[in-house]
Amino acid sequence: MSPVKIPLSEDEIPRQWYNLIPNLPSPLQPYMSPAGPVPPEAWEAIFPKSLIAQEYNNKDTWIDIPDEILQILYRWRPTPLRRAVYLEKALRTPAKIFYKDESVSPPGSHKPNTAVAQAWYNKQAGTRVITTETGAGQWGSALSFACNLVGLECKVFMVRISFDQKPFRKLMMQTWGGKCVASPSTETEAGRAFLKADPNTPGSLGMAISEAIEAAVTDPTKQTKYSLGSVLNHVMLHQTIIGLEAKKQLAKAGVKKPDVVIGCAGGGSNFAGIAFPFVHDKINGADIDIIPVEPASCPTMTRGIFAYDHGDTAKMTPLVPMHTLGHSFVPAPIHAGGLRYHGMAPLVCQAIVEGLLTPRAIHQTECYKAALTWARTEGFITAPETSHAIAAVIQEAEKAKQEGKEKVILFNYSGHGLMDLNGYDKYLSGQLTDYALPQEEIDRAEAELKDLPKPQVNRTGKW
Amino acid sequence: MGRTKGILPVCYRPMITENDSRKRHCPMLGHEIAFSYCRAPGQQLPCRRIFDCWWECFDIKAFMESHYDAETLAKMTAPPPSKPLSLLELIEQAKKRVSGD
Repeated sequence: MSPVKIPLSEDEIPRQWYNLIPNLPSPLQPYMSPAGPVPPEAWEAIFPKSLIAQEYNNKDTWIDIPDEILQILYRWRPTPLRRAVYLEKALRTPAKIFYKDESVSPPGSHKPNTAVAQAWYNKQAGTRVITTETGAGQWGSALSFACNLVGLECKVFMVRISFDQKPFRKLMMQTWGGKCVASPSTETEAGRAFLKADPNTPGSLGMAISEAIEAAVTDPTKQTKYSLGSVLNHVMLHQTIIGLEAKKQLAKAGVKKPDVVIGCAGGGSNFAGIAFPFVHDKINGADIDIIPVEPASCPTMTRGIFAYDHGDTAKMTPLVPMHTLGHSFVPAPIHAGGLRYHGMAPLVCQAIVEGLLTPRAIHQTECYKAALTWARTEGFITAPETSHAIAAVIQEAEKAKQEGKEKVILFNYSGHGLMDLNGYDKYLSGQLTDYALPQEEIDRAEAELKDLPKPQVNRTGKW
Repeated sequence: MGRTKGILPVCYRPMITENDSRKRHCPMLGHEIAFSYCRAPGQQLPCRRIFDCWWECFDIKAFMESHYDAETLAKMTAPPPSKPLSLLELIEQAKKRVSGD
């Protein structure tokens, strides 16, 4: 039987992160405000200079990982690369399926890869407190974990409705020494204003972010900074340790290169982590399908909704909300625009526009079915977000079976679902059913898509 | 009587709370929430992703069109500024709040 686990020793851990920015075939557009390009100094109220430098680094492909950060990561890294032999057998596919298991980290996901790095750089810069916002608590718990190890205070503004509904993640934060407050709170002017307007508000991420930013910006000692768990370039950078480890482990398993790389994509960080090192190979000629996967979105609310993205210097790219019409293919520039609308990392969007990534959307029932297949073959219960990646893996494995090809599929198993079982409850009790969109709605949306102006995007056209 | 564009007369409208007990995983918060939160997520307008999240479960479009006019729906679904730019805006707002501007 093929080995199930392909380990990597601590001696073999990658010592540098991979920076996609200088390698993009068409340059990443700078952040643009109405006044012009946003200068690095604009971020100094909330980030230390070291992280700002990483955010703007368009020169260096390889960034050294400080040894002190690696010392912390050794608690769970390198993470195992596993071969999903049991899923392969159940599907009767000739495909070889490998996955990076990021669920083994203490918080249970990929998030501490950047939480630790950000905490460390902040500590070096003289920060004493890091603030952030969180919903369910995945990010808040990862940052609390990291700050404790580095010796920083961590203050997490947790959306009130999440604070009430997710007591265990709140406890995780507190166990790691984080201070978790329900947002909106009375601790900031913003919070007090929100509470004055509605004392019974359930809160929102927008409110929590406002409070976290205010707490950082208004500290007179300037020793409080803010941290974000996704979207930004430096977060993508830190996560590339996932894909870089995977490369070494695949080589040990006798695999020269994967044929397909898959990751679920919300804000983009876990996807970037597994994918960007392979995007580098693709830019340099390798034939790899790289697939970010996300939930299927609404196909019929695209009428007349256009806006120009301030992030585009030419101000020529219309933003179009993402839509799938129940199909899996959406033209890349339109999709990337829609992803920007939904808060995807600019680096991932630019890679989509360039044609380096082929996004895919999958319906929720297919995702839960995939998650159940995974649990009943490989044994692990996956996070709801990760189930999108597994659904795409199964699609690709079935395709390999039909084609009779021994494709190598690599995906990022970004987190376990042991604290998110409600969705499984609904699926198992038959409460999750797909609503059948009327055909006339689909026909109308398709007709509108045909009439959309072609967005002008920055790409080489090579892929 | 046929449906006219825009908000239905009160007597024909489904109650605005009729779907409130439906639950699903929220991709923003990262946990299960009730539709009542999506409809009133601690801000004036419903969540801009309400269509994307609920279209697989029931006719969210018909529901929203029966309770909100076109202008509100357009405002609600208008693309927000990018996350990095919204952070910069929040920095400026925080500075102004403290300086009393």
